Amino acid sequence: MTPPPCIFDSGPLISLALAGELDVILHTSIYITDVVKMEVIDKGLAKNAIDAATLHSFYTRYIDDITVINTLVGDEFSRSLALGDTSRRRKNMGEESILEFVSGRRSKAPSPMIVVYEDRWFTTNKDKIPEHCSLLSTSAFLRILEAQGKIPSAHAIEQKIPYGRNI
Amino acid sequence: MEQRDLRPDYSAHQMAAQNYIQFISKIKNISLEDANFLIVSEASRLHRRSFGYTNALFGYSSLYYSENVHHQKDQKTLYKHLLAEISFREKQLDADQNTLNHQKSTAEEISKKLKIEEDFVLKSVSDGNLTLADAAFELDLPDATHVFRLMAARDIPLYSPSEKEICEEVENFLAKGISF
Repeated sequence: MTPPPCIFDSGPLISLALAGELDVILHTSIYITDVVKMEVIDKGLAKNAIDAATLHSFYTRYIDDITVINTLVGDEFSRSLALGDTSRRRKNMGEESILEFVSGRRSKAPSPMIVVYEDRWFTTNKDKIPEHCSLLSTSAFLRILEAQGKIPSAHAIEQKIPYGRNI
Repeated sequence: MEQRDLRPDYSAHQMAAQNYIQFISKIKNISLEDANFLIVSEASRLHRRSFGYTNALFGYSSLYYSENVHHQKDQKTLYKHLLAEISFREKQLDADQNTLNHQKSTAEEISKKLKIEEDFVLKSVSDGNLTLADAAFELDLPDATHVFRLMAARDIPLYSPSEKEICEEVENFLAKGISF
């Protein structure tokens, strides 16, 4: 059975990169939107970008295992970046790009998909998320990986997230 | 035909006068200028007697004195110029200091406003209403790590769903029988 697409928002990627545990996402069918890629991976080429550098390195190593989804929100974002017009950048563009992808699939044969998130936006916008899409916070994601025998301890990874971030 | 310089040659007298000035300066323990002044006064007194030597001495000393006066005048002019320059610079420094103070106070005001805005952004992240990526963009930071650090430095806790919410997510997911 084909594993469901697991769409990662920027928050979980950042947390796992900071914990040095990005490899855990290799247990899933990794999807990221173009906006998330621009926000957290492409920045890795910039000076002083620590977690983004880790993510960029991970991305180049596993480029064949990562599906990047092009979205209309991403087109808008990249156009504004190309024009140097950062004023057109809106908040939550990463989340909106994920919503665009999962909503676009609603009309087609609904197949399960997973969104791994970290901020409240997804829970406050739950009603916009199609039913076939499961929302998982990073903590829940790690606990399920543990429950399914993919990792030995979710807690051990959570403890590695810097600054005592409780995900 | 060879031309002769008919002007009187006072070089020997000048040399003697110079030695004499130095001698007077030394024995009276006074400056060369004061010794010269003393000699000129004396020479003026003796001038009427028309001694050749005294005449030459007077001529040389007058010349020396005259040069000295010119030098003093130049020094006075320079002194006045320097005073004017100092006064101008002092005024300029005062003006610069005022500008600097104004700029400092403006920078402090901006810094306060920025800190308030920064606190608001970090609070929004803490409340879960703003993503780390958005916060990094809003605060013009290279990436989320820098937002993490700012929050840690200010003891602002990071957002986390409640334990109840996490457990619900896990249960619902496992109930669907989905596997990674």
